[in-house]
Amino acid sequence: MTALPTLETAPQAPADTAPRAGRRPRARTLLLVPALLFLALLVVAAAAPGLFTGAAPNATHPLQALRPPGAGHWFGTDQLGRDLYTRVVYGTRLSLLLGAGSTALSVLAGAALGLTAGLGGRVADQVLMRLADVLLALPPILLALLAVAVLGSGTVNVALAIAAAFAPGYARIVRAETLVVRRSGYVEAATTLGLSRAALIRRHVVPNALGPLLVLATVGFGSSLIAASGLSFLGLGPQPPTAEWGAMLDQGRDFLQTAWWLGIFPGAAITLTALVVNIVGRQAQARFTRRTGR
Amino acid sequence: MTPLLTVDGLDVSFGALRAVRDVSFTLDAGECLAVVGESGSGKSVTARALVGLAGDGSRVRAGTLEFDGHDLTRLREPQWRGLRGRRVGLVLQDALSSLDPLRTVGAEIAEPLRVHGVEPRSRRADRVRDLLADVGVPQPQLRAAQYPHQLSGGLRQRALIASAIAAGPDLLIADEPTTALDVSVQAQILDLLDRLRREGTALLLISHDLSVVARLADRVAVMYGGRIVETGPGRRVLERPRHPYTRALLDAVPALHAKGARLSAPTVPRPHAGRDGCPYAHRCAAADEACRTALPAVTGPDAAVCHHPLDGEESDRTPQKPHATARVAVRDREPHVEAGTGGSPAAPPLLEVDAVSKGFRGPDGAVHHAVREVSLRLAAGEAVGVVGESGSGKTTVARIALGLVPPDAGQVRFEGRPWSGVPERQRRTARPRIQAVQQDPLGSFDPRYSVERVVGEAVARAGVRGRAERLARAAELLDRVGLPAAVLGRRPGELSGGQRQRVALARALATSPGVVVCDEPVSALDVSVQAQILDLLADIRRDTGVALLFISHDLAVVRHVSDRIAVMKDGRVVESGPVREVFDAPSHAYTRALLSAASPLPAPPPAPLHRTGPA
Repeated sequence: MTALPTLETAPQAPADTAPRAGRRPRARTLLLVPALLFLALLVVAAAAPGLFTGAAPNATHPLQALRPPGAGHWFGTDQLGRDLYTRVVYGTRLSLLLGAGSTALSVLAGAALGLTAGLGGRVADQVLMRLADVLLALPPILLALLAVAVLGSGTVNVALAIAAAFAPGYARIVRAETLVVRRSGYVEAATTLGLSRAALIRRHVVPNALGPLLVLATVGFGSSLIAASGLSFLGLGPQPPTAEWGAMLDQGRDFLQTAWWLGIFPGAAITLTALVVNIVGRQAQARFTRRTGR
Repeated sequence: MTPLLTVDGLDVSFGALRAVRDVSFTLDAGECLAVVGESGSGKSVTARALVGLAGDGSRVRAGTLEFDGHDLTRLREPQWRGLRGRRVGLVLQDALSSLDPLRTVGAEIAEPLRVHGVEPRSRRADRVRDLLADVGVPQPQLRAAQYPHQLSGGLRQRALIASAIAAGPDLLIADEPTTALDVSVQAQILDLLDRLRREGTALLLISHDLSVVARLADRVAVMYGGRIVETGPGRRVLERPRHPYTRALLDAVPALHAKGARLSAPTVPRPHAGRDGCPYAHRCAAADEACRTALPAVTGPDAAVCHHPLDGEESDRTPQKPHATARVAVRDREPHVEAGTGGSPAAPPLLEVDAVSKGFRGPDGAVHHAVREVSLRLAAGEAVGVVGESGSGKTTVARIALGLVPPDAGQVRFEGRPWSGVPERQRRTARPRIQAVQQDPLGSFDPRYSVERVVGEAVARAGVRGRAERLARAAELLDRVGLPAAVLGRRPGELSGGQRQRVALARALATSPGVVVCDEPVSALDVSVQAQILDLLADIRRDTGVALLFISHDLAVVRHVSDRIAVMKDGRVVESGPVREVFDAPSHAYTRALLSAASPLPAPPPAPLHRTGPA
């Protein structure tokens, strides 16, 4: 008996997985564990920064100003001699809160607007979506700047400004999902059962239209975080001496030539957090897609 | 003479899954071998392995795999490419996804001519035109310049065949070539394939549709669980099957049957066979220990691989017998039919669709009249079938009847009260009494819901209070449709097509409706599963007295289920009446065309059988 040469190279591919889905998801899963660990670390640091450092974030030691990273100060010190490591740790809470708060606000606003557009009449749909078109034509950071200009600077206002900047995008997605769900076979089946419009919307339309949004929000958290840091960097967010990553970048800006660590560590904290949240978000998205087949 | 294609001991596996096991057959020039089986039987994998396209992660082994003297087991990819298209043509089921949407039909057909250097560039355009004319495409010059989406399904399938035969292959492999097509278009494609075969092309036809097979095949190989379980001359296999599976498969086809007869064999779950046993043992009534441990040796080209082959009387399925029973069965039902049609005061119609019309505005602004002045009446307990090809407006009629689409003109009454033209609030209280079963049950279930919630929601609407009571009622409904209560915790996505359709039926019955509107409820199912669902519908109708509005493109299915039928074409009902009258003495030319195109099984019966008409 002669064996026919196999044409494809993966004879050992398990029968229950699609051959195409072979390598990439595994790579993603590989990153997922460290990402989740880092995220857990961030949450603990935000909740109880005292666990990571004994120093106070705002204690100044002018004699130890601008020390490079070393044994005493892992991340070095800033121009006022404050320990940078301590400040990065203490900055976690506000930075995460800004990112999460603004994401939550923008998702809430987006969901409300999207559902109104998708379920309301044609007039509501047209008005809301043309408005969204106008807002989407501008870069979100510019919109946020505009909002801060109107609202005035400050932590809460930055969160509101970012929420306003990202809400139109979410509204668009929710509206599209709502329209798909409204025309779906299961909503039709529920209509056939004689469910009231309120029950139909509550039980079938809203949960299914918002399902993908919650996953998108995890990914959007990264963008919000970076936007918030950006506004802080411009000095529009939390005011000194508050420890916040974006604001710390701003304060270190003048010394970058001589003290690189002032930019690197807060910057790395922002980048890593955004990256890690993205990894987790994408994974959640992939799982969600697989579960619902969309 | 050596056969054109010799396959001996073909094995295809995907990891641990052995999709094809020990398959052997030969094929001569000008011969048609049909490989028949349900989905998952390995028939498509067999066909693809023959052209070196078994798929990612597959492992193909064979004792002999010889095509016109070439040993295919030794071929490398470049040699396969030289063979595919040039010597072996492949026609796939879905012409729209098999044709490149960005290339004209002409470019597609010219490709094998170019790749294999069959025709010089200057003559290619002429050749493409000839090929299109050959496969019966009108205005070949125009069609060659068009894109696939501009062609109808039938024309696309012909273009695909033209491309497959462009380089003049000796062997044409057609995998479900007519499955997606309407019955009259299907007939034209089958005629085309038949002509090619008579002109000397060998044809390997893969199909689950026995009426297609009956028309074309010289020989038939029946596959089950990756093995060929029976092989033999087409007529013999279809008329006197020897393998119990072939028999069950044939019995499952409604056309052959006495109306009202059961289509599916009662299934008693039996233990699965061992690795070397008969794959059909767990469904087979005759299976014993010998079947589970080993298979009998294969004997010759006309044999069933079975320890207990059927013979003589019990396997005889010549047409006379079923037709005789058909008469009796129909007569039994006659009083019922009359009650429905007469509209006597004793049985007022439950659902009246009165001269409804519906138009949709297309993207170009033109109004497409999907339904024109259609009238239907459905009395309590009656089954009315609506039959028509795709685009005939039958689904729109179903949606109008369900009160999901408002008609532009005409009106609908349900239970004697207006059903169309009233606010939804007014319809809502009556809605539980008219339910629906869709073609795609999965799409009709909330993707977040388990079976328990899907059925439970309908049970709650029926007024059952309390979680325990609802659960008990849901389990009872599942039992009614032949599903174990264990299914309650599963998601519909994890169920098979047949199981999903049962869940949909359970949900539809939860509110004890007077009418169930079924829109193509079985057309996505394998023939044996289809048979089970049709039987289930018949049982439920008998037990609950529910009236059915049954929409289908399949004449045989509609005939099996319905008391009366309406034939639709271009949005109009062109003929309607008691099912026997319409089938035996069709008065409209279109109905006659539909009937003759849908060849019953086996081979079309002589005309007089149709003409005997009602007594």
